[in-house]
Amino acid sequence: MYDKIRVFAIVTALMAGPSLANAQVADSKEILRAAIAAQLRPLLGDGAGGIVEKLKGVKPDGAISRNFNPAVVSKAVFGRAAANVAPDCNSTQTNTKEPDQGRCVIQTGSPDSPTGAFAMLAFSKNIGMGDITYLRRPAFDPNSTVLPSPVKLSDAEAYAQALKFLALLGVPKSEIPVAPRDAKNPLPVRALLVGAEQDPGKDATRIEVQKVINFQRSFTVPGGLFKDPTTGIVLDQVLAPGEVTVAVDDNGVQLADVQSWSDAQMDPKLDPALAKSTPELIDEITDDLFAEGVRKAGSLSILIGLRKAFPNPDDPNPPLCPVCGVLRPALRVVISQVGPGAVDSSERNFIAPGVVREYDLVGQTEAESPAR
Amino acid sequence: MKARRSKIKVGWRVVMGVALAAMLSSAHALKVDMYAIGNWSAGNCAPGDTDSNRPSWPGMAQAWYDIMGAMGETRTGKFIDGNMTVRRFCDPSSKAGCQDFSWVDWPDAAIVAAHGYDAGNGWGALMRNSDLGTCSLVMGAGASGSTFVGDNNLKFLHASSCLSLNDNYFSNMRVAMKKPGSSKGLHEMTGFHGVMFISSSFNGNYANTAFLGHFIAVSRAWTSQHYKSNQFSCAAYDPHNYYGTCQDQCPTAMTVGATGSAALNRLLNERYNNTAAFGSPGGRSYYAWMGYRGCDPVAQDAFNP
Repeated sequence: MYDKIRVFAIVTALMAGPSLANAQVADSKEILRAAIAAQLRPLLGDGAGGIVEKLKGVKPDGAISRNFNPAVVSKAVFGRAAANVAPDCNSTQTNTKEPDQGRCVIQTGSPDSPTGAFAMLAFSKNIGMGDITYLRRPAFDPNSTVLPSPVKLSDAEAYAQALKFLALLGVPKSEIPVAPRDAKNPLPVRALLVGAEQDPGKDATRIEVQKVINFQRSFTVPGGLFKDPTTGIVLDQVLAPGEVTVAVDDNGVQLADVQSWSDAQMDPKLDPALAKSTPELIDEITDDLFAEGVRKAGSLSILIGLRKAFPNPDDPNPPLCPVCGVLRPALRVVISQVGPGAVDSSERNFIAPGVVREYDLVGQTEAESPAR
Repeated sequence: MKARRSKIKVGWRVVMGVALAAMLSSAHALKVDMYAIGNWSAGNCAPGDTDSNRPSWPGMAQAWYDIMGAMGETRTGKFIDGNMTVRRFCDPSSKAGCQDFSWVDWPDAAIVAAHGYDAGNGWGALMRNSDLGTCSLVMGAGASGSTFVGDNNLKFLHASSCLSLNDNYFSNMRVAMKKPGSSKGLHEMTGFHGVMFISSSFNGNYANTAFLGHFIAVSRAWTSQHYKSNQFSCAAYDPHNYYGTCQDQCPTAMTVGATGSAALNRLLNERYNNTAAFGSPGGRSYYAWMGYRGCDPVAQDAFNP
């Protein structure tokens, strides 16, 4: 019914005699709208209420702020080395008594040393914000002709090392996605490859220098979230704010970067009764992407996730920490004008970047209104 | 709400950077520029083409630019939209009127954000306005390339642009990174194999590139921060690519050198704050590159140089 109305709208627009350009704009917008609708309807049905109800059952139980112990991590990564702790590390508030959103830095060696070894652990002073970076660099000789050693670790060994290190950093195990038994790609591991050559394909040196693990945070949804009607696959995880990258070689973890793994809890004011209808979401997404310049949908992906949001205006202190925010059900829309495989491009057929956007599945509890 | 979140996200990183900058020596301070186009429709290279506009793009470049400043570098030029033409990016040896020595080749480090394309095994980037008979910056791509950088000041060039450093460009790019007859050259270029993505939530990756590039090699900072494994094109039932439906964002980096080991050593160890340890590339007979084996982006085959 909805699609028929849209088709009617296109026809009406064309018959009303607008300029060709206007008709093309209307046309491209309706094509975009149809592409979004085709993905959204199987996912949500008539509305987001059912999904939101399921997501209300997600109970983040780990909390990086409870698991992260800087003294333990520092001892593990720096060992006996005398590490310098930045003098402002003990403060979690700014001079104006606001939560300090900066980082505590602990390091060994000089960051500015041109060739010297260096290691650093930096983490949110309010650790509930969920940002932790560990890195180390070895000393090196800029005139060395010795090639780097290839990494011998298998993907599984690298992944196991990464998980062990993430546990040390306090990343809750329950928030790390687990591959189903029938997964074709169970490990999120790739080799970082370097090469040097004089002519393409001749005398080429290719060395895998690290194994890199990269994945997004995920929560288990009790009872499952969604069953794909075509494949029958049941999705029982939901994406959440937070991403990790860990680079490992035969000497251990060289870089670990935990980003935005905040202690945000589900929005306590979440009300499934306020879930948006599917037509409402289709309009919202279409209008927003169109305003962002998106016209073609060579590749379109719509995923259910949780996004970090600010608490309701009347509830300024979310459950675990003052700067953690809250989690709200959302759609993560990823769109690009071209699809998979190599495509021809030119000045006239340039390639525009893809766009990633998030849209709340539930409307605001109440409209904000000025108190003054 | 989205804008507010983004500002706060970048804001705390600025705070972080300011704190860390205090630990870094100011002796190395680099001059830093940013060149970003978010609106093409009001220019004359894609007039009225609102399809091509990407208003959130300059913010990503600025996240890098701002943190470079917070880390103690000197912000010397923020250029967004306006009269962005090839004149700012092409070398006078290629065409009269080119003035890269006053623009992109004037600072020590720069980021360029613009639509990209494969200009013939080299990077093409769509300008906002036509100038000198073209709407494109072309780097590498054999005889059609007019961008040669590093012969003046530029050491690090970051291309926030689709298809800016595909795996089929590396050989051609080396000429653009060390102009024939010049004693100086570009130390490192970074870009993307295939399509890159825009999101306010990715601003932190640009900021972190600036941050981490002062502690580990710029190549590793770029490739670790912009590597997005299996986050795009996923089927709704497959958000982690367990069933193989997803695609990647694939960052790449490259250097040149008189020998393979020289190019590799630079690639693996040069940071924003140790450029003097390496100096200018001694030649361009060899090139070295970095990327993720099998990284599978939109619009290109998997990374396999």
